[in-house]
Amino acid sequence: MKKRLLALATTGLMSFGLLAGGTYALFTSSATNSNNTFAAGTINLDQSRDSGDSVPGPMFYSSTNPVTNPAGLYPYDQPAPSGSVIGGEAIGGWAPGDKVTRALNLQNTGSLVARITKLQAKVNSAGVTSGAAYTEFINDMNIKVVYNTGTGVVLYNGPLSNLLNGWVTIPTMLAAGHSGPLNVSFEATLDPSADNTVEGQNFVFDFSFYAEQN
Amino acid sequence: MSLKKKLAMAVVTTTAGAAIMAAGSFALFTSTATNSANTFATGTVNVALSPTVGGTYASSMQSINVTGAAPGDAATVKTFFVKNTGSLSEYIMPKFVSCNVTPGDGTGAINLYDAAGVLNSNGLSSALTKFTGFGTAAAFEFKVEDLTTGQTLYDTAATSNPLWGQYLEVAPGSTDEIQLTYQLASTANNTYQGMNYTGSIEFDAVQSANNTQTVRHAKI
Repeated sequence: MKKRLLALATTGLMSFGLLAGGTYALFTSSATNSNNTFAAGTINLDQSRDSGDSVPGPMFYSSTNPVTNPAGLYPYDQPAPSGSVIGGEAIGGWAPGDKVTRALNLQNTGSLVARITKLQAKVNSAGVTSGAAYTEFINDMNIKVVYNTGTGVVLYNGPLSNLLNGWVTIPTMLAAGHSGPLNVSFEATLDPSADNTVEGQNFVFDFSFYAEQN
Repeated sequence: MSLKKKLAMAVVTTTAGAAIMAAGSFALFTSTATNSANTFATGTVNVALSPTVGGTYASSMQSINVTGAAPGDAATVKTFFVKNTGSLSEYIMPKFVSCNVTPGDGTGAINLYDAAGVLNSNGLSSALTKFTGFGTAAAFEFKVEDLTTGQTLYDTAATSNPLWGQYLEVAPGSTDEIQLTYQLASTANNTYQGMNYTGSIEFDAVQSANNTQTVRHAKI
């Protein structure tokens, strides 16, 4: 009996000792969820002019330039093929009152839905960039941009000068990831009130669209 | 993780989140597409004259100078070429400018057309009074003809000149041959002694594209 009590006491003492010590080991295990990949989606806006051929280049060009117009389509010195949405004529160069319509296709080659929200123009140093002729031209050249695919909404209709001061907000076009072409036309009209000040000049511009994730 | 530790972690995370939101700026993915080098080359409207078809085309004014003529002299004929030296098709209109006729009696020049090509009606009346049969085939006649189209543009002896003040349509690089003829007839009387007629014909051009002018005649 005494021995049993002593054993109990010892055990109790030992247990107590263990508790008082503070360190102990619990059963443990770990599990790892590895190789988690966060692949960022993309948006990438591309453009190509809609000129009836697959040659990249500007929508508007001034002659039967073999580089920008190798197939001889839609030169300035011939009327557009009948029934064609784009093309136009400006025989001998732009004259006051002339109207020419060209188009481009926008594509989102990224994976995310993109919102195309802004448009701007920038003067290109290949042409006249300042002076009386330039100022008159950008005020007298009207640009009308229309989203043809599906809706036909007018994105912009006003003087070229208003596109040259940074991004202009336009009605939003939505382009799903890897989506097909969004056809946009540019109708350029030189106002009949333009005078000899803008005669015999070369004006060159870049047109840009801006897209962001939806 | 103890509850205390979990609460502490929660506070830190929330603070961090609030800090990110409070900063305000964030970047969305963006992309731009540019169609470059769109060229708009404007055309030109120009008209110039040359004495010969292959000569140097300069000036748009042809001078007229009639002096020292005697009645019965052969008609003076002057031919020149008017050319569209611009890139755009154009309408060309000739007009008389700065025309004066001066009699030999010292009474001074009589103005017939001003520098803008406007007829001086009073001057014309004076000339008709001063010079017997002014403008008629029997005295002093002046003609302007377009030899290329075979049309008489102006004849002082005609009762009306419907083609004068009208437009000739000329394509870029094309020419029209113009002939001026003036003659002092043998029946011209003494009022024409010492007469001096000076002036110019000026050719004005305007683009034909988008031009709503309806009063014109086309080149044959």
